[in-house]
Amino acid sequence: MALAALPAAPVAAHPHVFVAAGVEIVFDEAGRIAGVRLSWTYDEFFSFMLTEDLGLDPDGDLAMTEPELAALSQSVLDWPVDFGGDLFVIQDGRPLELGPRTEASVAYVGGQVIERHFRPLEMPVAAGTPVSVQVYDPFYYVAYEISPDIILQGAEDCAAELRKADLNAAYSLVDELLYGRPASDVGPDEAFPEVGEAFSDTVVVSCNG
Amino acid sequence: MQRLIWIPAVLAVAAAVWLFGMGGAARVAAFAAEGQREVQNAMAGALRALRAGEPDALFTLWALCFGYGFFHAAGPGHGKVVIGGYGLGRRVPMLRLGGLAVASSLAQAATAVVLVYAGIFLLGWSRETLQGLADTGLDALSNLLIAGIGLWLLWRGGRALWRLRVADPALPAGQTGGVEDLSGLGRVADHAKAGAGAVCETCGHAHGPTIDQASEVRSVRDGAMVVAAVAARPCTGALFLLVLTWRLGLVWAGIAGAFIMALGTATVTVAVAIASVSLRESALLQAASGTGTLRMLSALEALAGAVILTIAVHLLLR
Repeated sequence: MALAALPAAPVAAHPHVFVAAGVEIVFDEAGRIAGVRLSWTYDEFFSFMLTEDLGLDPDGDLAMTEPELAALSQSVLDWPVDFGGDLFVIQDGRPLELGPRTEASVAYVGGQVIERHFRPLEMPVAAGTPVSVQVYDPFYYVAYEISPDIILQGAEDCAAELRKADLNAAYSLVDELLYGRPASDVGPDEAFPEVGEAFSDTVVVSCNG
Repeated sequence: MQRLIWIPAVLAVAAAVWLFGMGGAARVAAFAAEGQREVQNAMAGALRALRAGEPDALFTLWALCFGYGFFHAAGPGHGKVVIGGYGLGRRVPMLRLGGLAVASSLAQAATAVVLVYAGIFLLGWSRETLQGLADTGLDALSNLLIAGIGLWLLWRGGRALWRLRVADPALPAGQTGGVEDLSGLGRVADHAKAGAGAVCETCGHAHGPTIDQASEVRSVRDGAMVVAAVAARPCTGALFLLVLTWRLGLVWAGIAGAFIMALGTATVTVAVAIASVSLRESALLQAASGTGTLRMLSALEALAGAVILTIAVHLLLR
């Protein structure tokens, strides 16, 4: 995440950065979920700001030289220490431990910055009991939307279902958390507690047998 | 005239019912976020075209800035709370509150411009520093100012209520009533038409300075407070635009864009201003006679103050 670009304590009530999230569920030989491969495609405006900030692609031909791409990668992949990766894998209501990212890379396609990496599960799990995968910024400064083309890699007899966020419920939650009462005579406001999860799409993976 | 004033009020109530009773606010917010994403992407395209030397793209960019401001303000935002709360709490003519709404938005853009250019040129700040300041330091300042407005309204409304309570026993019983005093209806309606500067001469008893008198004296100071509370916290989107256009050497296109963005924002806050003033005025018509009206106005002011204060404290303690 190009979080260096974001404030130390993100407090926005509405997102300023939009990310299309590609999700690939990776299975091991035993048919268990081994981890999640993510791709984050940043919106054009934010991408443009990132590249301009670094003085990259000055001719605007949407192509970068090797050194330029290296500079972009270095900046984007430099996660702040307190950034957890915005990935959440849950089974039976229990969050599963994720290992550090591997295979991290950055691409620049058509003026958009794309960040990719793999997050292994500390303990691979069988998806006989469904596993939920969510990608969200708890502070909703970044709005992720999971792309519908979910890949199940190495899976046998498994299915993935994409459940879109219930925005009505999400905004009601914001109102209740912020004002301690249901939405009434005032609108939601500038900043709110960690409500990003409510705005999150969810991929539900389940396998037979 | 009396009937006409109901029309925006009824529309405002209908909108409020839809927004907060029927999940409309969520739909508006979702629509706003979706709109913002699309506008944001298109702005990048316009900026790239500008850099590539297509002068027409300037107008595309500015049109998009207006749209960005509109979508951004349609989503959650403190400007609406301040303007709407103030309009409910204080007797402000629609035109003046609308003017305050526009002025606050433009001042907010000016803050962004000053912050970016003073920060970059005088202090050599990076974008991260600027953004951090806007999102934390100035955010807190803005919330403090909003809390100040809330306290101010609450205190004045409470004080007026106290005075009415003190003045009350001296009145004949009939005059303290509200709705049944039909003759009062016309008076208050005339009063409403006369605007904020008018003094309620027909109220007929001493109750200290009326809210209207007070509003004349204090409106300038109030106005400054409202503008400051909104303007203290520049919009992150405007900062993005200014930094980006600065990098691209499109300084004036960006500064103009920031102000156009503010006009887009103002379309929403002006609508909120109109709604709050018409709600207040029709509430005035309902509660007819002198003391009843005054009491209700003071209560309304105190209530608006309390609501604004609650929100601001929430934001500060977060």
